[in-house]
Amino acid sequence: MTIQYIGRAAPFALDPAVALLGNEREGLAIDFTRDRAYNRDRVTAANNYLGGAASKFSVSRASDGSRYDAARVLRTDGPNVLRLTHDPITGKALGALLEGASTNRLTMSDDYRSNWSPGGAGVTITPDAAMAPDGTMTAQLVELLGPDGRVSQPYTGAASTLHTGTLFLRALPGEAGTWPARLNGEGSGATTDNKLVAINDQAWTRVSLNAVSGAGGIIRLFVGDRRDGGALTKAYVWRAQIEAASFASSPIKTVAAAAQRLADNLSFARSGTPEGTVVIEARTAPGKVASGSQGLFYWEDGTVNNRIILARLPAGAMFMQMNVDGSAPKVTVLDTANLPDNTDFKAAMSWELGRFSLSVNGAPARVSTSYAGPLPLINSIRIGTSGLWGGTVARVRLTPRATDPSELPGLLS
Amino acid sequence: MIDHLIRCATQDDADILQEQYGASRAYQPRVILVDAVWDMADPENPALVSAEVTASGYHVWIALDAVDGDLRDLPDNACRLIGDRSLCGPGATWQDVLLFHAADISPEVLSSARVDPVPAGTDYPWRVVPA
Repeated sequence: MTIQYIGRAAPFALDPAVALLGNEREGLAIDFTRDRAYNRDRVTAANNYLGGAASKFSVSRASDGSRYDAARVLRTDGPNVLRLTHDPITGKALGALLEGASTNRLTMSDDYRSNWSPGGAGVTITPDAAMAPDGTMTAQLVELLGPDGRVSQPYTGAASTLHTGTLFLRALPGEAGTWPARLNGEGSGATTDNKLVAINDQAWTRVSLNAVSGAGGIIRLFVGDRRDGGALTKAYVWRAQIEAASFASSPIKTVAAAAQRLADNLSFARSGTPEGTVVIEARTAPGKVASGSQGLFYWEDGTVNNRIILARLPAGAMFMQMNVDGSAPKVTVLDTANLPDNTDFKAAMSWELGRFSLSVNGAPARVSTSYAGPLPLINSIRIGTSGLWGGTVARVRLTPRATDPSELPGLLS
Repeated sequence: MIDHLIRCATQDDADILQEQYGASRAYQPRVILVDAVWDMADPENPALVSAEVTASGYHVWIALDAVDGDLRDLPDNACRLIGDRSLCGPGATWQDVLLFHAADISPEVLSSARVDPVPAGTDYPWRVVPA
């Protein structure tokens, strides 16, 4: 059947950033998942903008960083490039990846023939044996020999510190089974995490291990350790990584030396408004920080004294907070639900003189009217808060008018 | 991108300098002059023969879009080196990539020292001995 449009234009797709802003007369909408941004300013025409998000809102990061493309291939972006990433399993566009600084403490992350120590009956390593997650022929074929073959690399860092070890694993063609990976703290007070990882020949699996270093600070990653058993004696292995962190960040390639990915700082100038509403769609980090908050959205004056923030508490709950002429918060609105790690969610916050409200995932807004003083003078927005967020940000919508708390959940539908 | 390696006298000074530029532009590496030597007879339990030797002071690596004259001109040879990472590549030597180095850094030190960790994606010629 042919559909004909007579007397009117054929339907067309609105630019996603324009659609995100909707009928608002002014405001800013950024759809990082589609790399589009729209700024509508009815006072200063020169501020109007419709175009790419990454080109408009550059990030500061003085190192390479990795992210997944839509085909789930791991790509490397150069310094100061905003990383627009995708889910490594589903390929879903996640938007801007905003991580803190982190170091891969291991050397030779993609080659286990040097700087790595065989143990027991040893291993056979075949370099460049298969296509790696980044599309290059750099995956290593590791064969664990005898009853106790293994290969590992130690790192000596701070004592009694939680570390995360990661590596990519994939079974040989026609095979599936379990593979023994292990992260070993060594010495007094250390812990160990050994896993039999279920892998197959269809996709790469990135396994994550957590262990605490002992008194001597030594932590050791075994990319395979036959002593732990496992059905498979051969597997493709790639991008071994140890970070002094509670959860894994994006993969960092190393060669002769440990390498640091610096923090993503996505910030831009924008004057604050006497009232406003911010709506954000994001995904939480793969883990929580031990202390402090994971900042998602900061509108500030460059200090802690004047700012409106949206952040995640260590336990997982989102909160909005406002400081005015001092580091002590004037208002805190806390959502009581703890958001799980690595989870998509939507949040909306609104402020005006004497009323502050927050809604997460469409729940009835939590409202504070405890402060009726002046609002802060602010001029700069940070999204992801210099990497403290640790997750991704899909969409941001900012309008210079408050929203009634009863209407706030409706913005998240 | 232009990299500056700055030596501070104290840990507090290094922390303040790093904070000034932020975690997206600055971090604190170690500067290793001589690597530790290990007896690898038992690869899983290597025995330390001699400990690594690190440079004195507390170092901050700062990456900027251009040379910062104020950092370069810090007193007491605090600016150890300034390099242009865009000039790195296969076969590049320090002569090719270095824009400035402190007067007390000899060619021998340049060919033997290294920083740890390095910024991801950079390939400065650490430990490359000029032909």
